[in-house]
Amino acid sequence: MPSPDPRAHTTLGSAAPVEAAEPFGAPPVGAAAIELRAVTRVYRDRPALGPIDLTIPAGEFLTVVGPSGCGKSTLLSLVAGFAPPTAGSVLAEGSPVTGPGPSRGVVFQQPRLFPWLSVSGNIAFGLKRWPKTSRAERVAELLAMTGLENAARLKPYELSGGMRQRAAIARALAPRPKVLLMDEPFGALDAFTRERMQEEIRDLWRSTGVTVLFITHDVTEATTLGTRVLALAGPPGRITLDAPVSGDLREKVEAAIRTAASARADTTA
Amino acid sequence: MNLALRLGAVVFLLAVWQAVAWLKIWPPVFVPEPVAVFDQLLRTSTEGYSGYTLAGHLLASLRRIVLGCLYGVGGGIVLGLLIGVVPVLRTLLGPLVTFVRTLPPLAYLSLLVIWFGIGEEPKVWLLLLAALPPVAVATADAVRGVHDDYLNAARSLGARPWEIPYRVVLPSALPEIVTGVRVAVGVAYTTVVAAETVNGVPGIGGMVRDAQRYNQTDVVVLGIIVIGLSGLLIDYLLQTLDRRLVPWRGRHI
Repeated sequence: MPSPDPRAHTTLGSAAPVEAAEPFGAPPVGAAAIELRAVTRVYRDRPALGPIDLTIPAGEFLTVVGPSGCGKSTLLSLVAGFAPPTAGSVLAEGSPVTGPGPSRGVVFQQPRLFPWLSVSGNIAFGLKRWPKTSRAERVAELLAMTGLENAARLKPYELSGGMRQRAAIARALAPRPKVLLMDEPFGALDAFTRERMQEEIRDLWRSTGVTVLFITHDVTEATTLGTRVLALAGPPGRITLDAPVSGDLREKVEAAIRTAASARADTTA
Repeated sequence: MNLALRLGAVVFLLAVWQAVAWLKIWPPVFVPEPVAVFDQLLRTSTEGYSGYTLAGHLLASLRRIVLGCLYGVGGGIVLGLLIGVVPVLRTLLGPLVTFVRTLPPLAYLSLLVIWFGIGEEPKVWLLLLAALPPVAVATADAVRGVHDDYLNAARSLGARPWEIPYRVVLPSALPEIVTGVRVAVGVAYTTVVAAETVNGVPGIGGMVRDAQRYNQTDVVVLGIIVIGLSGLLIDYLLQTLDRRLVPWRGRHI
């Protein structure tokens, strides 16, 4: 699926160290959306992750799958800037990550909406320094994108689980982040809602061109959503598989599943 | 249904009270008749007592409570935020707040009278000191209990470090703070009579104290009932405020 984002047409994976030293400069041409160089993370003498080398090109939908406690959430918090790496470096568009920032939006397993703000207020949280009119436009745009037009004035506790997570995604996307980090975002939803949300996040990824790093412990979710799947084992978390998922492969897998399902339906009939 | 139950309980209590008074086991100086108390209600409301009407006494007390609570709640929130956010201040001020909280207000009333005289200042200070610790402790605990995800979400949405306390931490802590305020107002209420033992007229506490001096038990009982009822009313108002301010209380999000 070709992305309309011009970033997708640049050469990927070669960070320019000179420009990277400038914190406020334009992103270095050809820098990957996210790059991890020999990154390790130790929690209280316990190695949690790494060493890991990873390049996430702009526009990719990378899913990271692995069992609980394998270090996938640690990987996400390092990229988000919530925690510093013990060794190695994390780069976002060629610049070292020194903390969280609006270029990397985060969606947590729980929606974590601010309960004192309406859905609109939550979405507008990251737009504080935007001019008022463009802020309102952006909020309206996101409400439409996530199908929450009628929920704009509702408070988080008045929403269903799926709507809450949609609002959380809208809030994370509002400041136009380059990268969307999702930490098992659909893990707490029922199966039906989860499937719908999976479709919606694919559509959002296609329409916005945002780079997605998606953590899950669900293998099917990882292979159906991602354009590339990373399998992590640990602790300490290490990459045991790094494989691209081509669109037609996914279609083949889906077709195979459908055929198998209908075959089973035939035999039981 | 609830209202009927409550009214019934009040009527029952009044009946028991009247019966005990009629039996004359104790002289009226110990147990005044409800009728006598009601009579005092009318007389203090019209003629007044110690130079002020009942409403005048009540308003003077309420004014002290409101002022003391405003200062106490404001100071408590600021202090609680500081204690909750800055580890050094937690070490320094935490024990001090607990120290003040465990002191009975009467213990430092004398000191306040020496410092501030016998006017309004020592009374408001006493209520402030009574109202501050519950709010400070509730705020500090709530601030420390804010889930990391909220702070991380705010920071990754571009909130600056100095914005976090008022944009995220304080509103997150609001349910506990409001509970702390309710406790604080309750403590201020129980303290106001003590605050008015020194030159407390006008004031419900001063009125009760004067009545005690002249063995006017009916006025004493009237004062107690007025304090209790106005306290109930204020707590009801605070509960309404609570529902308005933190409608998400108790709901998992």
